[in-house]
Amino acid sequence: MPLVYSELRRLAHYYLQRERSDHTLQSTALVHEAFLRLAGQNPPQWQNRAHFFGIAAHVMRQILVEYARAHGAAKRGGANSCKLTLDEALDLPKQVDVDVIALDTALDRLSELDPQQSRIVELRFFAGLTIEDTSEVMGISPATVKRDWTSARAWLHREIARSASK
Amino acid sequence: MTPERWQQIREVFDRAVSLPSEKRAAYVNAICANDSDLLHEVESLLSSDDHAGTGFLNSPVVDLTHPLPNRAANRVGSRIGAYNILEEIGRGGMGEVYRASRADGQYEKEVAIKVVRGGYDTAAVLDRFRHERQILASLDHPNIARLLDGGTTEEGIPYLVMELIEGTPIDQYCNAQHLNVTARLRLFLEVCSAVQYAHQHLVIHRDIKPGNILVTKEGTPKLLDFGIAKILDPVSGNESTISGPMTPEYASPEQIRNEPITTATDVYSLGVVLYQLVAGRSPYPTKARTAHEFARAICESEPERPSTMISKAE
Repeated sequence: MPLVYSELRRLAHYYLQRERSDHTLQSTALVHEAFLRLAGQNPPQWQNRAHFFGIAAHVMRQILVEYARAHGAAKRGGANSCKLTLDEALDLPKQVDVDVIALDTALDRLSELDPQQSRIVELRFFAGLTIEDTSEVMGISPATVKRDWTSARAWLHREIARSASK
Repeated sequence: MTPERWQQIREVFDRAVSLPSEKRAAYVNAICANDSDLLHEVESLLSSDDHAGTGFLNSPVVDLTHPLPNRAANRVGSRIGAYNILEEIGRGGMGEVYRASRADGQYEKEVAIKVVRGGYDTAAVLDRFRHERQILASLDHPNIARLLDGGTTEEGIPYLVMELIEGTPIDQYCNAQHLNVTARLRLFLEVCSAVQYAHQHLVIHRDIKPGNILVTKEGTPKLLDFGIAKILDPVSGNESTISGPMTPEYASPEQIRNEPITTATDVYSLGVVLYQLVAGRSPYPTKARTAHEFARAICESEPERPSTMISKAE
């Protein structure tokens, strides 16, 4: 479904360009809204829920990484010092204390070791799916999701800590 | 690290992490007795798992499984295209309507902006809008509110900019002014002239109802939303017509039955409005409430003559 993908990319870029440096991630909320509209499209352009969330989570990850790069580059601290703070007014998680760029790099490495684990993290962290949602979307048991998630999280935490200490 | 090695490491880790913490060390030491590198890997992962606590990655950046809190109300004070949104003046099946002014001061006049509600197929709406806008924008009649502009918001939602009409729906206006039948008919004739004009320009309104006929302070009736229903209508032939922009109470039988729309559709709706203006009530049984009940009444029953209705009431 490359058309839907490029549509999401186009939207994302549009918001990123408009993002002002004094802003928090209000653009994320806008993209979120756009995604929901795309998800509710009639007739749906999605083969199924898994398809939608798979693409949406991946695009959201890219958007946030691009945002973090642009934002981090603007500050002198460089990209690695960038953390995301979400707009409280939007009823989103108040503080996401994660270096998204390091997370992105670590996820890429994880996908070389176990692509399924990398996807689970993407769906859960970048699209907000619960263990049960993820299990349904990926067609694997909740127990498997939980196991994969736990070791992926430990691995990513270690990987990010290592990259930070370098 | 290879994928195979990672599988090996995480198998030990999976098992260890499921054990009570005091039993982990013994288990890991036993399993990794001949592989100090494996032991080291698992130990460091267990320690990372501790450090990660419950916080790490557990609050997603976005939750796409739940809709955002309604942002529509926050549009006031924001900008749509070249317009500053001043106030919400209406809300309905199609979306919200706002009073707005040009942000660049190109002209002073305020406008009405209709923002299409989510759930419409944005691409199809825009496509129809492009087709229709020339025709609609060319409608120039004293009793038709003009379509001025349109586009998409930052979020990609289509919007329409229209002449702002401040007035009262025709039925309320007639009652508030205590107009007699002659005055009501005179007002209604002006409405008819607007519809006739549009029909001559091959535009069908499709959603004529008192709420779309506002009478200004000067006593001029103005038809709103000419042709908008077509832009927002789902693909014709789709069974959702009743839940679409059309208002069941004023719909024609062909709209209910999903048959081709013609100028007679508007004439039928005008008839329902006229009936209400002179008889003071709907031509359909008062018990009709749901779209389905209206559909039956419209397609299957013959309304009483307004004169019969009035003499009964008296």
